[in-house]
Amino acid sequence: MKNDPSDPSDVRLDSLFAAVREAGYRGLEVEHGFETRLMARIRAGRERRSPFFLWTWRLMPAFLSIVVLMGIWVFISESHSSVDLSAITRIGNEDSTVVAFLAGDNNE
Amino acid sequence: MNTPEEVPSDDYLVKATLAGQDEAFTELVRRHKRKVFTIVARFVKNNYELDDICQETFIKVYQNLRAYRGDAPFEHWVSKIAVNACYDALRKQRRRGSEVPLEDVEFALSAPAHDKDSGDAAWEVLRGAMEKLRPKDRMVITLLNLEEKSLREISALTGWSEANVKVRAFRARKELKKLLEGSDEKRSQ
Repeated sequence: MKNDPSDPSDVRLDSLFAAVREAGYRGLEVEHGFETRLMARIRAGRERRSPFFLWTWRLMPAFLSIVVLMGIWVFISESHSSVDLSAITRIGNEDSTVVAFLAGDNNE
Repeated sequence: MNTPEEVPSDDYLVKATLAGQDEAFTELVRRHKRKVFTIVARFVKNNYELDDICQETFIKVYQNLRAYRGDAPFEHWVSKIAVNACYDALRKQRRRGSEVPLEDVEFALSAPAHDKDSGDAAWEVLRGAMEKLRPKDRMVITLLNLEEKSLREISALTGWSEANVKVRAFRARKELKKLLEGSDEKRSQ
């Protein structure tokens, strides 16, 4: 940024900037023990969050056993209710044979 | 005795932190806190704010550590987060309204800078005027004139284009001069 050296307000502003720059760093006293304070805050944040995750892990075996039990129940109920289509066809054929015999409709 | 080979790199410490070693993150903080403090100190009024924004910066660093790709130096990445934290703080301050009473700002502005030879006094005068600038303008003027960053560096830190930074710097400087001149006129009345 080019400044006008003949402009007194530019000169004044630049002298203010220079004075502030020369004053240097002013955070030394806050730096003391900063890591300790920061890590304490990070750990506190982690602990506040942790009960949820802790309970999730603790409940994991219960969730797993529910899933396994549901799987077994679905498997058993499906095997009982499954319909044998070939049996229906067989029964259907037997019925039509009896009806044809009674009606005297013998193709053989 | 420590040889240079024994000093772990930033990348190594990042990986160790992600693996759950808190000591590794403490070492990262120890290495980079001076840089963060230097940036943040230009934007705050007191040590309480300085400590708070620096902590916020490193908490963001910790939370987003997985996003660090390692294609730029870790220090640049941390500096960018620090600048963003300062910008957020400036915007919050602006929304709340300046906490510095108007009379204090006017007092600081009306005191002739050339009568004050210490940097602290110059900082008070400058800060009084800069608090009246828009957050983006204040950000640019601080990084350009106090931190002496180049336009390219400011662009990289803020994510704004170089042209945008240049225009903002020009406007902010003009505004600052106007504020200081206004205070001179008030004093002469």
